[in-house]
Amino acid sequence: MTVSEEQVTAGALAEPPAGPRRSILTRRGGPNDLLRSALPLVVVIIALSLFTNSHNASFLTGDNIDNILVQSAVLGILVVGQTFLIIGGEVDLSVGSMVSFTSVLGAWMYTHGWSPVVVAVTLLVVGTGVGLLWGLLVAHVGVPSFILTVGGLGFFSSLALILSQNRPISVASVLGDLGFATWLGLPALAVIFLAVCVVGAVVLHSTRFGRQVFAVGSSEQTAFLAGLPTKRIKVTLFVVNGLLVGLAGIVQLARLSAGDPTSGAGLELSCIAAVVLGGAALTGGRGSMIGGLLGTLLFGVISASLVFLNIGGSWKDFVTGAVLIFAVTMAAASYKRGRRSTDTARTRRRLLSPATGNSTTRTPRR
Amino acid sequence: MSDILQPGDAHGDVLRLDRVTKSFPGVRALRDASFTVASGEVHALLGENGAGKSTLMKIACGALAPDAGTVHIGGVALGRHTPQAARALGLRVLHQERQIAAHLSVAENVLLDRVPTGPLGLVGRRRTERAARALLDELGIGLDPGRSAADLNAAEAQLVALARALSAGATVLVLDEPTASLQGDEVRVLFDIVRTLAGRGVGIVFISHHLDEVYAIADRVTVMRDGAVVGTVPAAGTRPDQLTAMIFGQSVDVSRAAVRADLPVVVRGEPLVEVENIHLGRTVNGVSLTVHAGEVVALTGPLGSGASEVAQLVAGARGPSAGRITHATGAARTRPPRTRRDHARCGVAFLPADRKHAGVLLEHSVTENVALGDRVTSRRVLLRRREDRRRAAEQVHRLGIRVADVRQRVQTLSGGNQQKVVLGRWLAVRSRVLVLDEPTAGVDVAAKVEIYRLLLAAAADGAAVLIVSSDFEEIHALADRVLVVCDGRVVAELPGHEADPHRVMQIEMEGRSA
Repeated sequence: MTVSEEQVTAGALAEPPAGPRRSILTRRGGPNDLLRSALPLVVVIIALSLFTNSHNASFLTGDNIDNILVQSAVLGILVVGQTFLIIGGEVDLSVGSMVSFTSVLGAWMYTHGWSPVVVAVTLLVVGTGVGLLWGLLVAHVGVPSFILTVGGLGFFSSLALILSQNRPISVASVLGDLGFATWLGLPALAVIFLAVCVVGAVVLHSTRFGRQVFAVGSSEQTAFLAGLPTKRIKVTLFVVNGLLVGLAGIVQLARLSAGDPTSGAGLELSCIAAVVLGGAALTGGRGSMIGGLLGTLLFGVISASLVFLNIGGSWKDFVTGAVLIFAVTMAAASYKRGRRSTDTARTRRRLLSPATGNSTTRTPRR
Repeated sequence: MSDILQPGDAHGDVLRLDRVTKSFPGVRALRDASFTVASGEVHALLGENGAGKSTLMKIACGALAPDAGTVHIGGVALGRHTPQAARALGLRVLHQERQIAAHLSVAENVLLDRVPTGPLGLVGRRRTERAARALLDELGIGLDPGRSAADLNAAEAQLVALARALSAGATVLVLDEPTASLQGDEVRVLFDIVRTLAGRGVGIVFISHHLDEVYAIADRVTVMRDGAVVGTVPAAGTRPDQLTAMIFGQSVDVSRAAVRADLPVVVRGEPLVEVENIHLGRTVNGVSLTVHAGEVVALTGPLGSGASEVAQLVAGARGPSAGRITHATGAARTRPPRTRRDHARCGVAFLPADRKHAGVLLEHSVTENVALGDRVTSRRVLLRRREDRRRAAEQVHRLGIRVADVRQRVQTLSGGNQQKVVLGRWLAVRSRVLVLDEPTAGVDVAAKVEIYRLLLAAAADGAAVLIVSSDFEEIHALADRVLVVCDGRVVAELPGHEADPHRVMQIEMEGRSA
């Protein structure tokens, strides 16, 4: 192409324009982009923590922070899987009931004499298997994931009740006291939670697979015509989510020392709320792991604050709902503002640099 | 309907925009733009995307307030810049999109906000239909007012929206690309009605990209470029090349000679694509073709001819029900490519016709869109962000993509630049077979020529290019060989320099009647 390159690119920009230095918060597309969408959540979490701490100084202590992490572990693990799914343009509403079911199944197996290792492996296999089933039905049969997993929700919450005969199955020291163990100076469950987060964030944001998920969620057709194995990617998403659901079941069992058939009720909604709070679009193609995790932490901080402020349990959903509405409004407003400011900043730079000023680049909102 | 005939101002102008200026942060969208529409006039507004047409019309209809300048509608100054105020003065806008309440009847749609009521203030179906019929008859629209709006086709929906605008007593009507979704005779029906309206004294603004339509309907033409009015000329007596010169600043020549000027003469190389007798259901019935390195082959045919499907088959987006497709690119493989993924890995690029939804990821950056090819062909696990950005910048430079920054979202680019981004995706992974379906649909003329030259340059560099196009000028400018497809078969093959628009059209006509 060398012969004709000069004519072909005549009038094109010679090199990226050296505009004024951009501030971290106005850049788009990199990790800083995530930072901006996460900022309102960080503010809300810190403000709420400080407020609670000013009423009860034992809130911001190491022990209580450990405690919040442990309380958030189940939701957090689910959020990691759901973040992948939602960015990929799908959703799984059966996760809460699957947590109930797997934890009951684990407790039932344990009381029937199975070893903790076999129990743990079984729960992971069951979770993964259900994920695989959802994935195959969604990707290859074309069932909408929303309605499919609503079906799964009913199916598994019933199965949990039947298997447990409507009562929590308590298990004295399940899974080698995992619920009370300490690793690296932190509660074991918190370590599992944080490890899953780190791995999830790396896979989503720093691997080729992660970018493929974004592409599929953004436009499945474009991704397919570009040559991405869209069906395989979707199945993988559900399988990974299933594996994490199994893990969440194990953590739930360890945390409660019981298989409670209703303990997972409503988790699917908190989980989706946390992902969306973190800046993900329900239509797919946009979101971040750190955002979802901050969403999870917000929920954790809210429930802990209610306890520390001596506010009755009936108020829990009220307060959670109010904070959710506030935070999501802030996040949406900030996203919109950020988008506008970066686009206009780019336009301005382009107009300022004579080499690139050209009318064929459409400016936004014109 | 007497209220339609409202007097204009002293000059007889029903719409007058005086020295209107509008800036958005960082952009001067309009500079000192003046524009008038006389009573009974059809006034065409032309310009490239981003020239300022829609900003000007948004100011006229009150959706935006100007920074400076005035708006008069029907001789009255627009005080508050709101759509309600402009509507009250008699300005109506017909947008491109379907503006019909599908669950209501035609009559209810025509009289949407002014359904006549009876003595008790109730709405009666018969009364509504009678009023609507009177209005439709007056305009010469032969639609049954009782029909459900859901069954209307695009053209009928357009007419209903027109009648609605008129029922509200419009004095100025803005038609924003009204023919975009219409076919030949539907356009004629629309034009008849537009003429009827003009005859009643309504002033009409006609926004279009098609010069032939402008000549068919407009009395005067105003051309905008870069936010300013270039000039207003009578339609009769102005030549098309004069208009394009006004639109683009200089005249753009899309002829074969001009497009190929000072590009090297290419010697055709080995065959890269061989298609043997492929079938697809009933749409493709035994097509065979070969594309060599260094060659541009064009497939063309009337709508539904199967040409588009042949391109999809060659690119692997669909699997043929019978026949064989061989690509001589890529390393020797143990099995023939089957899926779109296999084809992409063999170096077969595909640029689909629906660029927005199937070509680019609108919400993602230029970098991400370019890197998509690499996501498919490479087997690396971890990302290399800096490398991705470097490659994107390389394509931006090489293809002359107009962006300030490779992190810019593709959504903010013009159609031509979006298409170049998709092309860059494949050139970045060294695809040697380029399959393009309607490569320049919705791309302005200047960018078209650039894309042609990029494709010819890619061919000169050893790529095999297969395009599907219904644009005869494009085929003539680009193709080394032209295959005319009718009913899923190749009915004629001719060398590119002989494939002038007239000849190809004639073959298509014969093919269709045969």
